[in-house]
Amino acid sequence: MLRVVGIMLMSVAFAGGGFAYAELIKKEYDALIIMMKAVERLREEIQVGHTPLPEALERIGNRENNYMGTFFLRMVEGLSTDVAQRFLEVWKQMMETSVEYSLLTEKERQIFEELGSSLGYLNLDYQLSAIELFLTQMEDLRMERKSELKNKRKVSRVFGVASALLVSLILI
Amino acid sequence: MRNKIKKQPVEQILRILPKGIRKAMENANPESDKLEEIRLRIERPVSILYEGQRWMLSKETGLTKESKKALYVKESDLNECIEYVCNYSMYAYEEELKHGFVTIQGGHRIGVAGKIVSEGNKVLYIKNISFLNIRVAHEVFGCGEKVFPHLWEKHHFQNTMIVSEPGAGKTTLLRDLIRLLSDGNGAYTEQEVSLVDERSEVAACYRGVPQNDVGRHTDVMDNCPKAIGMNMMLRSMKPQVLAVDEIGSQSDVEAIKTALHSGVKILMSAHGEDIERFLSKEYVRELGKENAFERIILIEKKREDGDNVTLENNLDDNDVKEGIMLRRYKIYNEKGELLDCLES
Repeated sequence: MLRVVGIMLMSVAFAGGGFAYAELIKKEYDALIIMMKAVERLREEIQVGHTPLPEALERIGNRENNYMGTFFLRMVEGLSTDVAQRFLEVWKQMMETSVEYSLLTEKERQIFEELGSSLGYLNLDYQLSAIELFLTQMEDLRMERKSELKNKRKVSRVFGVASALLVSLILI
Repeated sequence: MRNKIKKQPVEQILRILPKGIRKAMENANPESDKLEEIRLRIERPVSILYEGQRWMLSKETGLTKESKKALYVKESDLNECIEYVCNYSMYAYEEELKHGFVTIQGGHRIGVAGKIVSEGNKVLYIKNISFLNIRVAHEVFGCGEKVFPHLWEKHHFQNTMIVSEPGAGKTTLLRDLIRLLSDGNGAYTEQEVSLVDERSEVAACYRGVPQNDVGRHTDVMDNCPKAIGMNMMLRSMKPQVLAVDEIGSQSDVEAIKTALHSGVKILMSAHGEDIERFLSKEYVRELGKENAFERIILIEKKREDGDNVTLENNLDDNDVKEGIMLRRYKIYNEKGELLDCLES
């Protein structure tokens, strides 16, 4: 009896692992979209209202109930301390503590950091171009991810179930 | 009795300085009401106007007159300072930069100079900003109290023009008169004042909130071209008094004429050396025909010995000590006849 329960639990664990990984892939993809949407809103604030960055980040941060909202609000805190720091310094600090690193690939993190280095010191046209470049790069990565998303999730789930079956067969 | 200078937080100025210079300034520990100006010039010593005297900022020991001990400005310092001055958003201050200055929280004005990118007579952009002049704003409560009663006739406020050379205190007096008009003062009833603050120097609005006291009944149109702002205020806010700083262009004149025809009183300021030269200016003559100046206040800086001083640079180091620098307010009528002369 114990043997059967053990086999069942192990099978569920393997299958569950596959399904959980499939969900993680989806979550990573969603994190990318959340980041892109937040930066698109930042572009609108800059383009339409010429809103200074701290104010724009605060407005978006208060509306976004996700990790980018938290990141933006922490940026505002970092920029409004009594001892002023350079924008990129604060951006890097907050990236380390706020952006869910595990959800982004190294390349995505690198592009996001580059965005931080181009914010704030350019005139309007260049500023918008820099954001546009970021969004284009991110869109390419998103398309890449999207094309792989369906297959990766399918493979992950199938692999989980297959592993569960295999383990069951071996143990029986 | 001398007017009490309301302390300006020197922290507002320290916050926009690059780290190295900020640290040296903290060592110098300047007092807000004595600090007048900080100049940052690329590869030159940090220059400070303190209590009317020109100093250099020392690396370690506060202020110095020796250039060997002075702290020099690097390109990275200027870039860092610009980042702070523009609140990390240079794009949001493009128009101000094109005009050559940015006003920061507290009303402090930062003048900039560098390489201009232009098309014809139009400035497109300023780049390689290599020279900064940080002018510390001082809000002097009560500096207009002596002058204020002279601006009324039969319980009616008179159209008033404040005239002086740069740095003599036009904006400071204008701000205090706005406050007095807005809050009322003894026998003088409060007025609905609309202020068009093109350079954010008078009210020093930060995210819409005036940082300087401009009174309880004052509406502020911030960072708006004067002529446009005056017309908007006339249409929207129904002011009794329209206040505006540093007029001079033809569009300003047209907007003032429109306001006068609407029955609104005007409180304004402009550059001018003396009354004769001021009254001979074309736009002044044009406005004079409309009875735009029922009172003209000419501000003169003076030393205690009675000599008029037009430029602070004319003073010796020993001349400028606390309490010596005074101001004289000459009040004229529309014909340029002297009505009164007050000292502050």
